This record gives sequence, structure tokens and C-alpha cells, in this order.
Amino acid sequence: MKSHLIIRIAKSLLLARWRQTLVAAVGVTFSIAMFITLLGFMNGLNKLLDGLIINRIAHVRLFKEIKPNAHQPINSSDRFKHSYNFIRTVKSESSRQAIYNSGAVLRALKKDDRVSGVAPRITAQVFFNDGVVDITGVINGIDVEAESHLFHFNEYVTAGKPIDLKHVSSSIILGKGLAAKLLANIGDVVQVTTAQQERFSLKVVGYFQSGLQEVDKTQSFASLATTQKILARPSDYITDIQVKLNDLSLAPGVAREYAKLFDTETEDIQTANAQFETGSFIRSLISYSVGITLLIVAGFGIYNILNMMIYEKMDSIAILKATGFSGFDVNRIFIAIALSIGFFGGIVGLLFGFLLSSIIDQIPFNTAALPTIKTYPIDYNPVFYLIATTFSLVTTYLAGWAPARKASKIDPVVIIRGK
Amino acid sequence: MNEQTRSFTVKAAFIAKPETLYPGLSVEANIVIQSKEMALTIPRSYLLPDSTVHLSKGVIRKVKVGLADYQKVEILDGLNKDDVIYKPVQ
Amino acid sequence: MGENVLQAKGICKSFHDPVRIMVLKDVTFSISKGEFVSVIGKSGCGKSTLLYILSTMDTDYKGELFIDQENMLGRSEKQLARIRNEKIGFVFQFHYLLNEFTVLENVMLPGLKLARWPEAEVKLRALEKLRMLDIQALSGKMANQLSGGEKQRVAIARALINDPIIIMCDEPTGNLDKANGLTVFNIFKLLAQEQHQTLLVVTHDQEFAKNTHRIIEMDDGRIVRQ
Ligand SMILES: Nc1ncnc2c1ncn2[C@@H]1O[C@H](COP(=O)(O)OP(=O)(O)O)[C@@H](O)[C@H]1O
Ligand SMILES: [Mg+2]
Repeated sequence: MKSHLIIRIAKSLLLARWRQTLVAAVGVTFSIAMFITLLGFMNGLNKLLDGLIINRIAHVRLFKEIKPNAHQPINSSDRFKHSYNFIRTVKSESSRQAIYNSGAVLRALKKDDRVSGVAPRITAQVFFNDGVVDITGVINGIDVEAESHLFHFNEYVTAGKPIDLKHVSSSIILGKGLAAKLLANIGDVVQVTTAQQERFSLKVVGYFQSGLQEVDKTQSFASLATTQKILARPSDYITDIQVKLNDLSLAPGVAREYAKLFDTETEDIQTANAQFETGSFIRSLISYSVGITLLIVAGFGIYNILNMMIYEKMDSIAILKATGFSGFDVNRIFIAIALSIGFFGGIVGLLFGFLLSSIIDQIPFNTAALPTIKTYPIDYNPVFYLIATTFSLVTTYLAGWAPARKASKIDPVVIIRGK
Repeated sequence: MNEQTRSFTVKAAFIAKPETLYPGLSVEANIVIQSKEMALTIPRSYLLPDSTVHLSKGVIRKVKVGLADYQKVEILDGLNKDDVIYKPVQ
Repeated sequence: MGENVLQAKGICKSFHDPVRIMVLKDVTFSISKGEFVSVIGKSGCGKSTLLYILSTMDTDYKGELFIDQENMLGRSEKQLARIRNEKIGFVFQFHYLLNEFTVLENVMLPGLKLARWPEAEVKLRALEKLRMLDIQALSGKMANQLSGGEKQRVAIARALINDPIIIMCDEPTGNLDKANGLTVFNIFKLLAQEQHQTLLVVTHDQEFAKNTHRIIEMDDGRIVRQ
């Protein structure tokens, strides 16, 4: 039968009880708005924290660890192969902290389809000389462009231009805390001493603020070439290769594969940062369960109002049936009533949710830990809006199902005789 | 011997020279200072901290230990190869 | 005699409340096209019960019912709703209108449900019925703003909208004052005379019954005279 007529009747019944209808719709509106706001906020937070930690961590990291070789030479000599050898004062392969044949490894990584980018690194332990005091620190030799592109390095440089590391020779970007200790301004020159007692002068071209105080007090960044020069190492000297994958979930497998292939230590993001995934998951779970709880409460509201409406409209239902509307038609009328409460309540809810989100998005949120964040984070993911709409329709449908069924089963004879 | 680092410099030469040598290559070597035939060793985890081992039925016996690393320990006296020992429970 | 519009064969009905009471006992009769029939009998003799069965709303009975020469036995609820919509007009003792709708909409609804005519035509027909019953002025009013007599006339207009083969009424004047009762009776008479509308009217008004073509008298669930 034509839905047009069903909807028309549903509309008239609704408007005749517009006060109750409004209350029911407001319930849906409220829960949808809260659902949207909560999810947007929680996910904004998730993304922020992911950005804070996960975006800055390589999916797979290749490095050489300073540790004794597991295969000591004596175990491969014919004479001692079968005996148990107690080896004392085993020395680490200290000379080879660098990744062997790094140029070839980088080329191979860049060719891999699963890899979205690679960034080589060198870590150098140094002393920053401040008058008579030496401050221990670390210079990270980086490829500025790759680091910015893959790990948003540029976002954490709060003063100066990151690319100056590449263009200005012997330049350095200091952690904000470190710069404060050294009283170093941009353009100043700082003195560093290496473990080999070599002294270098480096020009400060910027400050870096990671959000982690400990990091900012000790870390600094220089170009790969500058760091190699400080360490007196050749240009293929690389201690770390940071790999970003297209699909993060492949990281553990890829890490194992690279460990074998390139004969290095590897570490994948899941193993290194398992707790972040859990945190994000719990936050999403909380927002979904609160949102759905609200919707269920709203659903009960609709259920109640429909039940009441059916009680009041017994006569109307009896007349409809006596004049030729079937039980199925009556059922559809009440389902239409429920769905339209869900639909219009939901639409307004989406609107309010969006508004509320945008308001939260305007609230200033300044913290030293997060230099790039100025307001509370909100994620305007359309998927949330889609889920909210679906949920509001599903809940109202379910809320309307039982009352509609009851209405369709009403026996007109009982009602008409009852007068 | 260099007193400061407590290390020696050892000079070595190839017996058979490899075809190519890469820059930055390093060599690793072990120096054999003692070897012993028919030594008795037990897994390190079977040895209690006070140099004792568990024999059957709660009997504890003191042993004399020699060389040791994280995996194995040499028993100089107190056990012979037919003794049965138990792993202590943690 | 014209063709058979309605035929009841041996209809029996009993309630279990709490003991079994036979309310209708072997009711057999038929109505031909164009007949104006009244059903009379003492209160409680089973007139309304019979009418609910004849109108297909009550399906819990024994015996056979033919409407437009079709057996109503074993039809689905949906099919019966369709038959009520298309072939039967019903007027109750209490003027049942949908209070959420205007007078015009109330009259139109069964026509829109039937969808035999487009909406514009259903509207024209509804206005025409209202004019015939002299209540076209009320068409825009909400149903609950009318007086009892007006409501009953709207109910008759609604019963007429789909050109039913029979109109059934359960004490249509029972709740009206004498003047309004007379108006309603005159409407029925007019319908019977000028449009040859088949009518089956339950009444306890002897005066009313005397003026119909045929009287079916019931007593204790049986037809005693027809
Ligand atoms: N639902 C019911 N349960 C039990 N008895 C009923 C029910 N409905 C009607 N009756 C009985 O059936 C008989 C006929 O009722 P009804 O058809 O309304 O009489 P009328 O319309 O002729 O006054 C009455 O005795 C009434 O009490
Ligand atoms: Mg009655």
C-alpha cells in the first residue's frame, strides 16, 4: 500500500500529541548530541595522544645494539666446537654500532611496497660546554625533510626554521629545556665536546619542544652530515633507520623479516607501545557505551510514549480497522511514528552534536606539553554521524516495534462494543 | 698490557687472504687459556646460591664450584656423573 | 428480486464468559440489492454481535457468510480489511470519527486507502457526499468540534465514500435526539429511494423500523420473523 497515506496518518497522530512527541524527540536529540560530542572529543583526544607518541615513533626501527656477539669465534673452531667453552671478558662488537652497509639497506627499504618512508638517524652522546660546566646531551643526526614528512618533526620546532639544519652548515636545533640551561638564543654558537674529546662549535638555528620535558632538556638535532663530522665518521655511518609503513598492523612481521634480511636488531611499534593501543581502545569503548546507553534510555522514552499513544488512540485504531485498514497498515503507522521521532530527533541531535563539538573545539587548551595544540581536540569524523543516525533509527525502530505490534493486534469489535 | 683499560693489543695476520676487504671491517677473537678433559658441569639454575644442590628427598649437599657462566657451572667436587639432582623451586 | 448482496447461512456464535452462552443460534437470511432492511429485537438479543460478524470484523463464528456472493470463510485479515474498505460502509451507534483529522479528511481516508480514484477525485467525491448530507460547510472543521447529529452525518458520508454494496448501521439514531434522529432516518430513506443503496440498520426504534422495506425481528439469538 502507498506509504504516502501511512505517513500522512502517522503525521496527524503525531501532531495531535505534539507535546509528548517533542519530549520523546528531545530524548533522542539529547542522546545523539551527546554521542556525537563524546565520540568526537574522545577520538580527538585519541588522535592527539597518538600524534604525541605514535606519530613520532617509527613503525619499524632498525638498529645495532651494543652487545656481545652470540656466536663467539671459538664455537666455530674445529677443536672446540664440541666442548663447553667458558668465555670470560667477552667484548662487545663496539666498533660496529653503525648499521652495516647502510646505503644498500636504505635503498632496499625504499623499494619495498609496504614502506611509506624511511628516515636514517645517528645518535651522538656529547657534552654541551657552558662556561666551566659540562651538560650531558644527545645530538640526533637526522634527515630533516624525511623526519618532517614522516614524524612531523617540523611541528615540534617552535622557533626557527627546521630546514636551516640542512642549509646552514654546523647548525643545531636545541631542545627548549636544553637551550634554557645553556642560555642559548637563536643565532648563538654553542660548544660541544665529544666522547673523544673533540670540540666543535655549532650554530643554534631553532628550538624544539616535544611535549616531554625530559626529552627537551637533553636532546638536540643536527643534520646527518654535521653529526657524522662531529663523530668523525664516514658519510654512510647510520646508527638507526626509522621505517614508516603503509599499514601499521604489518609492523611486527616486517620487523622480524628485516631483522633476518639486514642482520640488525629491529623493534616494531606494537611491541614498543602496546599500552597506547589499549588506551585508545578503552576511550573509544567508553564513549560508545555511554552513547549507546543514552540512546537506549531515549528508546525507552519512545516506547513509553508510543504505548501511551496507543492507549489513547484505541478508538482511532478501531475506526481505521473498521473502515478497511489492515493490522499491517496500523503496524506501519506506528512504526512510522517511532521512526520519525528517531529521524527528526536524530537530525537535530546531529546538529546539536556538531555545534557542541565546535564549541568545545573553540575552548582554549594551552599546555607546555603540547606546543601545537591551542584548543581542545575534536574529531569530526563523518563515520560518527553515520553511526549515530543508524543507531537512532535502529533504537527507535526497536522501541516502536512492540507498541506497533500491539496496536496492529487491537480487535476493533472489543473497542466498539466497549463504548 | 694497557693498565688503564686493562686490555692488550694483539697483532694478527691472515693465513688465507679473503678476496675483497670492506672498509670498516672488524675482527673478533677468543684466546684459549685453559682446556680440561672430562669436566663435570651442571645447569646454572640447579645450583643454589650457597653452592649447594638438591639431591632426592630434600637432601642438600655442598659442592665445590669452578668456572661458571650464565648457562652452566663446573663442579670440581661433591657430585659425580651418576648423581640425580633436582631443580630448586622458585 | 435483485441479486444477493449479503447472505448468512446458519450463523452460530457463542461466548465463553465464563460459561458457554450461545448468543446467535442458526441465523439464516439474505439481503438483495437495493433493499432497506431493519433488524429489531430486545436489548441483548444479539443484534450487534450479528452485525459485527456480517461486517467481517468478527471472524469467530460458525456457519457461512457470503458478501457479494463470495464466501468470507478462511480469508486473511488483510483480505477482509480490503473487503470492508471496498464493499461495506459502517455507521456505529457512537459517532466514531478520527479526532486528529478534519471532517473532509475523515470522509476521504477510506477512499485514499482504497486508491480506486486519485486523491483529487476522492476529495471531490467526499465534498459531494457532504453536500448531499447538507454538511459541506463543516468540511474544514476538526471532527471533535461537531455536535452529535453532525458527527453521525459525517460518519454516513464516510460510509458512502467508496460506493459500498451495503451499509450497515448499529443503532445509528440511538444516541441522537428526536430531530436529529429524524434527519438521519430521512437520509437513509433518501439513499434507499434515490440511489437504491442497500441498507441494513439495527434499531430498537419501532417507528424507524416500520418505515423500512423489511423488518427482521430477533429474539434470544434467533430470527423470529423476517
Ligand atoms: N464479549 C462478550 N463476552 C460475553 N458475552 C457477551 C460479549 N459481548 C456480548 N455478550 C453478550 O451477548 C449478548 C448479545 O449482545 P449484543 O449483540 O450486544 O445485543 P444487542 O446488540 O442486541 O443489544 C448479550 O447477552 C451480551 O451480554
Ligand atoms: Mg447493541
